[in-house]
Amino acid sequence: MPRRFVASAIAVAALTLLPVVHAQTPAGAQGGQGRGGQGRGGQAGGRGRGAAAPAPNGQNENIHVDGWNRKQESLEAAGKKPGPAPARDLSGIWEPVPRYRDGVFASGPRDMPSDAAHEAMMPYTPQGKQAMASHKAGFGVNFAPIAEINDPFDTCDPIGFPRIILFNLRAVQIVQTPKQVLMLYQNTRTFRTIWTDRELPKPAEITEPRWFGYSVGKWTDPTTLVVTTTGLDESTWIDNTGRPHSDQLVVEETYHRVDELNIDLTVKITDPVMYTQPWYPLKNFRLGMNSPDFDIREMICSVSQQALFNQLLKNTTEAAPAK
Amino acid sequence: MKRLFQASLLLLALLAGSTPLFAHHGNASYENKQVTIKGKVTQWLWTNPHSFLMLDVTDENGKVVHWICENNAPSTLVNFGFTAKTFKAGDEVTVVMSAVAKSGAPAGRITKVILADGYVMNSEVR
Repeated sequence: MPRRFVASAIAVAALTLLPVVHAQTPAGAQGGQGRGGQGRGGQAGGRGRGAAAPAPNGQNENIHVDGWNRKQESLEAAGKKPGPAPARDLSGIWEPVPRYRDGVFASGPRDMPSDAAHEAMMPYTPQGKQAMASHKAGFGVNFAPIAEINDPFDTCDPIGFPRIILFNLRAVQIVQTPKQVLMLYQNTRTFRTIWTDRELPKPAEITEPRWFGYSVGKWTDPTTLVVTTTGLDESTWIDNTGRPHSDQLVVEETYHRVDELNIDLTVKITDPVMYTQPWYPLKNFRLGMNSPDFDIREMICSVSQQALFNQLLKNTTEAAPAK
Repeated sequence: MKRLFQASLLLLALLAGSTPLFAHHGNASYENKQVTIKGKVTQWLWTNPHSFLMLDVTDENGKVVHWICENNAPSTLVNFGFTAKTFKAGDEVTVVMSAVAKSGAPAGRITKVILADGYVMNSEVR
């Protein structure tokens, strides 16, 4: 409530005290529609500020919605009591909890963020250190000026694996078939295939490194799927701060279904070329089950939009100052 | 321009504190500083990875400055009630920014937008 109070106070101050704000009507007094019914009235599927339900305090609220703008929260947050974990089953629509943005990881994954303390703990080999220095990221402890950034994702190169789970891990739908576990990601609207019926290809058999590599999954117990991925394209970054990898990278993901409504994800990075020992970007990172009605919204890296974004950001450093 | 709104800024800062609100692309080019502008929307770019509200701000001498105001990703903003149609060209809005370009270029990051009727569209991620 204090947050709401402060925001209200600001709104009131803005309306009553500030000459720069030319308020036409008191906040919240218009039960109005959004732009053609599509504007801010779109809050929570149009319920936020419709005529029948004026928004409180004359301001919007942070209400999690899905791709169809319907209010959503994890099933557990909605009051459902989790039953026991089903056996060998991860299927469902999942999202980080307790907050849906907990997997954004702009400055590095939760358990190895790129701050001074954690960066000092990173077990780089000399080659790894050199590769890291050549990666000019927009984020992290050594973020580069915009003009120097060489992040491959900034031109919409495929985000690749494991960055797909270590940057902007948003909603993910898991689908199982008799031989596969499919991961359908909100971020970049891409998917991975994890084969559960076979062994990994031997290194000599991998003639084509791939953006998302080659993945196999093994149930180590009825509620734990361990996924191993190799054959990864070297041009991708491990995370949003430029942690490098070689073609020797092996990523191990452990999906532990804690109960009916929760999965804990642990990720282990092994790459003897770049790192002297394995490291863990995520340890028991929790995903909560959403309603089966949850529509995963688009989150596309559009080349033309990204180019515009890059240009606009460049303008912030090069444009003439405001007088 | 900025001087004109100094009193307003101080008041808002007192009320809201001066905490940096979100740090995203190009940390190097922005500095944390609260700035409020009022102007007319020229474009609302509902784009990835982030959205932009373009604004023409007229100063006391009649000079028009074109501001580029960065907001969050659509996939985040939808949870605050923003849509691709929240703003249209010609809308009069007041934009509160938490950071502005170090270069002095008219660009910044949006904390909230106050619509002409006083309705406040926050987009602060906590």
